[in-house]
Amino acid sequence: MSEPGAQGGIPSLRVQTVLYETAARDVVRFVTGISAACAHALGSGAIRSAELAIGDSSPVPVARGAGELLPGGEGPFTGVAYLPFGANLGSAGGHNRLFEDADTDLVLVMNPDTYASPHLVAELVAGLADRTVGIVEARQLPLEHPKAHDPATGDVSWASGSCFLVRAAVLEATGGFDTDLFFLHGDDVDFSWRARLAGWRVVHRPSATVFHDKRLDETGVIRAGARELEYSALASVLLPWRYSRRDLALERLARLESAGDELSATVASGLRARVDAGEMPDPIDPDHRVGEFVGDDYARHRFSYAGP
Amino acid sequence: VSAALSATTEAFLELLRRRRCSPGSVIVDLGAADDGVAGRGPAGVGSATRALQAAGFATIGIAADQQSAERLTAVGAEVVMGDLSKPDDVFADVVLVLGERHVAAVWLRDLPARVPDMGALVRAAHWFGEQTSAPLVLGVPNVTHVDVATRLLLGRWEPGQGGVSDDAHVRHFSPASLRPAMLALGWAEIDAADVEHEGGAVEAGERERSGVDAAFLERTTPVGAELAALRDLAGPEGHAEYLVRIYEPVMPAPVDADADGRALRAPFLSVLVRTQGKRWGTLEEALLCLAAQTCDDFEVLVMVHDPEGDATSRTEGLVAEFHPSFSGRVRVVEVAGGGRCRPLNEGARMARGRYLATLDDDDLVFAHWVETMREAAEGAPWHAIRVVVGTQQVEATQGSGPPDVGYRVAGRPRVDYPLTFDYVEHLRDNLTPNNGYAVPRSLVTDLGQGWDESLPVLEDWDHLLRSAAICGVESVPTVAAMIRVWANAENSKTLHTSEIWEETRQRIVAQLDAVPLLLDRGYMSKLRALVGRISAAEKLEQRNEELAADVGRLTGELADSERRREIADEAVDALKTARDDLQQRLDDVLSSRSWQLTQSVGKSVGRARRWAKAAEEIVRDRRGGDGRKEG
Repeated sequence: MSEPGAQGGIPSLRVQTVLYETAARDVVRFVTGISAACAHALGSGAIRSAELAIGDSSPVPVARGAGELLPGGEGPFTGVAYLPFGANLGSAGGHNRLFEDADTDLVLVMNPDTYASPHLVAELVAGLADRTVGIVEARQLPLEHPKAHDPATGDVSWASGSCFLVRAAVLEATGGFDTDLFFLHGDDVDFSWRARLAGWRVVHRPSATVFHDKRLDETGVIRAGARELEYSALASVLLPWRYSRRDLALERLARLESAGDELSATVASGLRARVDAGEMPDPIDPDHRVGEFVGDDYARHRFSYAGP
Repeated sequence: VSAALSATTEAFLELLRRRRCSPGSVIVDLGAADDGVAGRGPAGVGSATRALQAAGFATIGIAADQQSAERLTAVGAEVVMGDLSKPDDVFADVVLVLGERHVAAVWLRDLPARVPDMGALVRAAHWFGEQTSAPLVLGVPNVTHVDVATRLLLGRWEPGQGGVSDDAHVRHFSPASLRPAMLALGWAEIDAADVEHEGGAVEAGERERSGVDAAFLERTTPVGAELAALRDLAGPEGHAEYLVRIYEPVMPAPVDADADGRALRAPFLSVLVRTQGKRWGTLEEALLCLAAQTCDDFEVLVMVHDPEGDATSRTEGLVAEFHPSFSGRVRVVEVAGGGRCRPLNEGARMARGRYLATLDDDDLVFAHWVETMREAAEGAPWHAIRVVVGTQQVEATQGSGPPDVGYRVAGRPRVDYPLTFDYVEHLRDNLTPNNGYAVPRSLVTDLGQGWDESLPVLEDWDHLLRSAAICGVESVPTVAAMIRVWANAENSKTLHTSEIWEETRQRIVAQLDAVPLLLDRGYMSKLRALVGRISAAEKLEQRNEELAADVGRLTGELADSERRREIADEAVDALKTARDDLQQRLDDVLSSRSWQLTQSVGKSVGRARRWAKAAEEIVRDRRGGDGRKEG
């Protein structure tokens, strides 16, 4: 992989997403959005080429081939790859698998339940004009991510994996997501923090908008599914442990153990076994340069979707 | 000339006056021979012909036999002998009789309803019109008159003589059917002077108002007013007994054979996006939300209202940047003039969708907005559909370009609006923002239930209340849309004073008060429960007032008692003092001289008597107040 900033040329782009039992029509919708955004970025000279990689963790592949997911042809993409993994690699593992084939300057990581605004790619690339920035996060609509960012510089604690643009150099420096620790949740927080430890800045760019199909329940709350809750609980202990907050990790583990519900008990039991067996990750960031734990969040939040 | 017959004749002459037809020219009056004959009209024979001549026109009538010819001649009409079942021959003969004279019009009163082949007659008139440049005027009974509709609703149809239920009629006309039918025959309507009272079926209806249908025909009863109001929805011609229309010859329009097919292929929804081309960022976000819908069975009309500069072309450019699968379903339309509702009504006119929904350019919708409404519409056809709208506080920022977008979210979304629609609750206030409902398009385009352009605010409230009264509302308790509440930027709340809001609210209430209110099934229970709650609340309020009065009275009495006790205590204290004083003086007597005794005892006794009297009065008062206890 090459690093565009060093060469100063127009970067090449790879867009990648990982499916898990996603309906084919939803994938088509995703592809139409990102096609237009790539076409716009190519037209405006923000990128010199775009390719698309779709990984599939579903037990039964969503499509028989890429053609089914691109009814209008390859459009602006110089290449489209559809890779059924034959196993559920999770979000982190799936993207890492796709990173292996990447040979572009930039990689755009997206969830398949997103729809790119026409300016998304060009705006994200513009966010990399500053060479200290390694990752640019998009602003989600209609529900913005609640974490705060510096309004002047865009600096943010971490970038949501639902849509961020990353330099190939950052992937090389970090090795991508940590699949030993993370499957679904917390992988993006950890990836962002390790990128920051490697010297890169992570910024949020409000003008880079992406639609993310999140919904509110009748009380105005985003309800998480069981798997989301499970992996979120896991990350709530693993992240502080890794980022030298053993005290907080053990406190959260104890909280899970006393929560009284089956899901918490299962997660806590697995974690307790790892702690007892000495299989928890080695701590990093001993000076707490990047690890940020605010309540149950990994950044200061402007508001919460979980309740009033 | 009877008043009744003169109504259509006068309407006919009014149309000629509007066209500045010069007196002295000729009117070809095809039905003249029938006027006043065998019940074809209440007036006397030839009365219409005389009325036309009185207005300064010459008339040519068609007579099928000698008797008719004589009748026409007797009233001064020129006569062409002919059989109207062979109209081509008749018009060829009229041309011969006419010579070089100018034709004001061909007048077909009632005939199209009676001749077996109206098409042949009107086509022949078209040939004549092309030869002479003569317009055609039709006078036909309106089968969609509100009284006719009402009587049909009640199973009443009694053929008689004259008007729409004339037993000689073989064809009926409605305002909606007349225009395309005539266009197909080569006549384009250019003006109308419909007649409300001609004296046919409607008069018959009037006469029968003492019968079973009386309450339904009477406009002041709730049912009569409701039926009239419903008929008015469909257009202003519901009170026209005769349709009097003038046409000029054009190329016959081909019949649109695929109209039904196209209607079937129409998308479920037309989304009318209202913008002034000033909020590019949020407009793009609104379009993004639409592009990302899980259901693409919709079209979008971006209505650019009173744009400044290149706002329209810039909007077109913005739309074109989206993928063709979305931008191909978006039309950008420039709208000039009018208030904030003008773009919505214009958009409705151009829309193809079976339903209409609206979005402002700073609104957001979730991915399942269209899908949710479509599913609901499939389950409840022809109902208005309502989804739940969340609200989110936002603040305008100073940013002038990327990466700043000009605003920031200031709080979590809230769901403050009720999850389901309740008409009675909505009477109190607007509880459904504009992006929270969709209505059948036909309600707007065919029944005239568009957005009231005279309202500066609250147009969605007014529109939904009117729509709900007709269609009912199918509620889906799903949060599918969101509005932004601007904390520090211009919006309709800041643009208009509270007086304007209240005045508009009162206007809407007055307009709804002017017609009977039709409520959906189930409202008997809801209203009864509501009235029960109000009644209970009133009783509680009354009891509260009574208790408050009791508390006031008791507090007063308590204060009075306390004051009296204080006086009594003072009196007792004074008596004690006096007694002590007396005791002291008495002690002194035993050791003092007699002159001292006399003086001191006299003063002490007087003082003691006064106190004792006061104490007696207080005790008496107290006994009086506590009389019940003692009694």
